[in-house]
Amino acid sequence: MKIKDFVIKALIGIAASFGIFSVFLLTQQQNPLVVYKTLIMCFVNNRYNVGEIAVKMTPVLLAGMAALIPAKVGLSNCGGEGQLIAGCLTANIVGVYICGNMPGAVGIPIMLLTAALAGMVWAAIPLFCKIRLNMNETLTTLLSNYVMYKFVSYMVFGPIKDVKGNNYPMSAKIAEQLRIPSFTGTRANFMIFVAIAAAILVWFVFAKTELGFKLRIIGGNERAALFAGYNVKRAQCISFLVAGAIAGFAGGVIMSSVEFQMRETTAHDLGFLGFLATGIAGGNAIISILTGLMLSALNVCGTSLEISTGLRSAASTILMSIILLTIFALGRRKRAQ
Amino acid sequence: MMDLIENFLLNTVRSGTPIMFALMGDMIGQRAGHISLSVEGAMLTGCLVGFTTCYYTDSLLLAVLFAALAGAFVGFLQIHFNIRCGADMFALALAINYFCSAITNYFGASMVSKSIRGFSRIAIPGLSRIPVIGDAVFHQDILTYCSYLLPLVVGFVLFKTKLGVALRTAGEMHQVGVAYGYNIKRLKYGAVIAAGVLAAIGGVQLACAYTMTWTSDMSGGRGFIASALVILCSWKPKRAYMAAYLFGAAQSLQILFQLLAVPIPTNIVTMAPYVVTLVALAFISMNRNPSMPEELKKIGRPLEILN
Repeated sequence: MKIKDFVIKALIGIAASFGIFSVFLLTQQQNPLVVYKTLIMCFVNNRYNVGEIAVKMTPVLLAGMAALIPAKVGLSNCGGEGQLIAGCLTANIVGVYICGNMPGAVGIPIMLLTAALAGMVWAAIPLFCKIRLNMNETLTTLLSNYVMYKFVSYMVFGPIKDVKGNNYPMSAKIAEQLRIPSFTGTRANFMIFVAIAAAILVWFVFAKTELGFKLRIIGGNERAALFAGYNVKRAQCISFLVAGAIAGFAGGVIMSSVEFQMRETTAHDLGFLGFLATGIAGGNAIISILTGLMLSALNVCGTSLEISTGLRSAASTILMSIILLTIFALGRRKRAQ
Repeated sequence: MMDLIENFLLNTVRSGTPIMFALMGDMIGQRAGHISLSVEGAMLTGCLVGFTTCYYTDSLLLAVLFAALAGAFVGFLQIHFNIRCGADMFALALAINYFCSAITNYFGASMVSKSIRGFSRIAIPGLSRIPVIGDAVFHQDILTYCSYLLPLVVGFVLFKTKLGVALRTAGEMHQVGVAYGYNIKRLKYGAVIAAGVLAAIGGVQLACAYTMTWTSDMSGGRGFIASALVILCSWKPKRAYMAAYLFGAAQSLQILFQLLAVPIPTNIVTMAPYVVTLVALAFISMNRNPSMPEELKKIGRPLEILN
């Protein structure tokens, strides 16, 4: 898919979705024009909100890569959500109990690396099921997400509950020096550039290098790859583990840059959004940057929508899902031309 | 002790029923060559639509009817965007689930903590007096009784009727179906819409008979579990009795452990349904799934590759 094609498709899709959403707004006794003005105004002259887009976009983009890399070699990883949360949880535990007294320059890398490792380990379970037992990895990864949700609930209600936290189900906060410094006036930090660079790197590897070509052959036609003498299973394993590590890393970034402590619903839905961002991008890493940006922006303005118009924040989720579905609906028409 | 076992069995059946509906629905879909993970969304929508209808009209028939319509719509979205628009099956399903979750969150906010009369349990005279299993099996709501028959009906339709042959052709090798003059597209539409309808009815049972409440995202992955259990059944309808109640049993462990005061944290026990499903799936996967519909083997290219 060419980027230009996609932009045209996305613009048509977004315009159509706004039309559909207007009908919904009218049924809810809201003036669509006022609502859309609010959506746009929340980014004008508002440094904080623009920063929030970057805050959301970092994990979404990284989780998107975690879905995209295995997809290129013929595996589907719907478990970015669980791997991301695994990373988040691990970063918190490491940050609170191990790196508490370390300086940031040592502690932050340790947190991020262990987070990546945790994501990798959590991805290894469905991978083992796929490679050794030939289980459907879509379903195993989806179900493993729910196991991770429950595990986090268990942890924050039990072992890692903050003793000074008035008995709320929350973990302790990581120390001040372990927090990634943010740009002034926002919660955003340089990790957004790392995420974008990662996406560009993924695109470059798959589009321009010999390795990427091999991997695409494996994903496109496993048999042809076998005849060509490629080690299919090994390539699939490595891709899947790398994907898990990226998702885990994203979790670590969330923990050390915005969340600082673990609650039951910390980092929920970000992995799914990442998966969907690459889903509508048709597996193109560069386009994922655009879709990730779009989804994050919509996610951010949901909150301002709730404050200024009194619509429940689920309303922006509805808008987001309508846009997703419309872009899916426009899929074939472009390809047929 | 006897009470405990009876209670456990009762909960096993009650929490197995929603899964049974979604499981049979998705089995029809998968036999026709389409894994519809959107049964999760259909079930969630069914929960809310059923619950709301129950709350405002007190009519159980209408609740099932409206929920079925909503489920049909979800199924239609899934198959239509997949076949007509060429969207990837899994990514699309997740987007639909996201949509269903958003819509139900929005409209369901006013339904939280409302209470309904819902389905009452009907005892079958005589049979419900059987010790141990009588109360669990023959003292249930009407939807559960329907779910007992469902695998038999689906099995009959799939394996004994012409429609069933056509459906399975769509899932095994659709070229043959085309050669025989079947309208494969229409069959697939029908199968996936049926999956949505059945899952939504399962949702009604969940919201209006089992829990009698509405909470946001209450389906909690049951649709995904149902999809996984289809594989556990090796695509054979009668094995659904085993699979659905295996899940039910795993779900009711929580209550059993609470009653027995077993010192395992609740959040660990609530993992059981997912873990049990995964482990059971691992065991069944060791014998290479000989009965997997051929068209399903071609899936697994989730995103557009080599663009």
